[in-house]
Amino acid sequence: MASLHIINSHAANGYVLSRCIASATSGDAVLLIGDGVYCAVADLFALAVKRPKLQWFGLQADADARGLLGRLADTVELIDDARFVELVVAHQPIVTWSA
Amino acid sequence: MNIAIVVHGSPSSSESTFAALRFARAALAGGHHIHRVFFYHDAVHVANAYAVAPQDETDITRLWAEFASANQIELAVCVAAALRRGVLNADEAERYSRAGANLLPPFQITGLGQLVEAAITADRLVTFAA
Amino acid sequence: MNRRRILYVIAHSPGRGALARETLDALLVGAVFDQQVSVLFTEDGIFQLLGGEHSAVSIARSFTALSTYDVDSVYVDEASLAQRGLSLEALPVAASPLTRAGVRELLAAQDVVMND
Repeated sequence: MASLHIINSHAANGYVLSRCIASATSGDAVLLIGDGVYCAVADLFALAVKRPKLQWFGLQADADARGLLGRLADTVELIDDARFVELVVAHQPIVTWSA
Repeated sequence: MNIAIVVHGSPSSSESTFAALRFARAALAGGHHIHRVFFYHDAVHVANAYAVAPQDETDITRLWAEFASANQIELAVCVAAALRRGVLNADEAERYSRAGANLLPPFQITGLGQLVEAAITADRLVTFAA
Repeated sequence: MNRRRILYVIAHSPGRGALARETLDALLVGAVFDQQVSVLFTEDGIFQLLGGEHSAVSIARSFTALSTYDVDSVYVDEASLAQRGLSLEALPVAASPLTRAGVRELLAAQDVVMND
């Protein structure tokens, strides 16, 4: 079963994102929550997401709370908490990455 | 599905206690069972009954307590992490001769074994890190 | 019941108060439950393995005792080591180096991943 990676923070130098990507296998899902949604507005994101084939998700409520709706990379699908739960059910293990 | 939730961040410096509660509500709404919520590291502060939220802020301690009571969810607070941060139930307050207890029921003091038990037993374990 | 594969990922440096100590406690309790427990030191988590003899910050001496507990495998992310100018020989603990591909395989093989 593919893994779900949760990124809950953003570092200016992008290391949380790059650490996650380096550790993820093709077919894994990555969910950006809380300050993790900032990862999808940085320049680094476009470079970072080119490498393995990952599915990208972000919590819509967290993006909205930060004024980021419409500003995130198209690669990131915005989802609600119900979909978050579905992602957890559909993946194992769940890995969390934080600054 | 039986889902265990682990929370690491304090309510005052991290969103993790809020994010975990939203997730827990969504999990129940989706028909899943919550095996246990385990509060570790600075997240044990959420069990402090003496915390007073400003009127215009969310009282996350009460929200967790109400959610757990209404849905029979176990809120487990790591004993070592809690003692270190001054979150004590009546037994611990007496054992260590502290003036009073401040753990808000239904939060309960447990050992790390409950974290490992959740890792072994639950179908999924989700960590809300600091 | 099947033994579960549980991995502890240590990615933070030691100077974060009780975090490192508590992560180690969780790891050691996990090890006594007769599961398949391993630990991966990556990024600044590598620094948990260093530290002076009288340092209050580092808990390197506790981590070096991992082999005396029932921790099945101790891994170190090779790239994180190299990025910090360190080598496996410099570490006071017997650990297996993993390439990035090795890290991906390790994570993908787990039932549960815990982090610090």
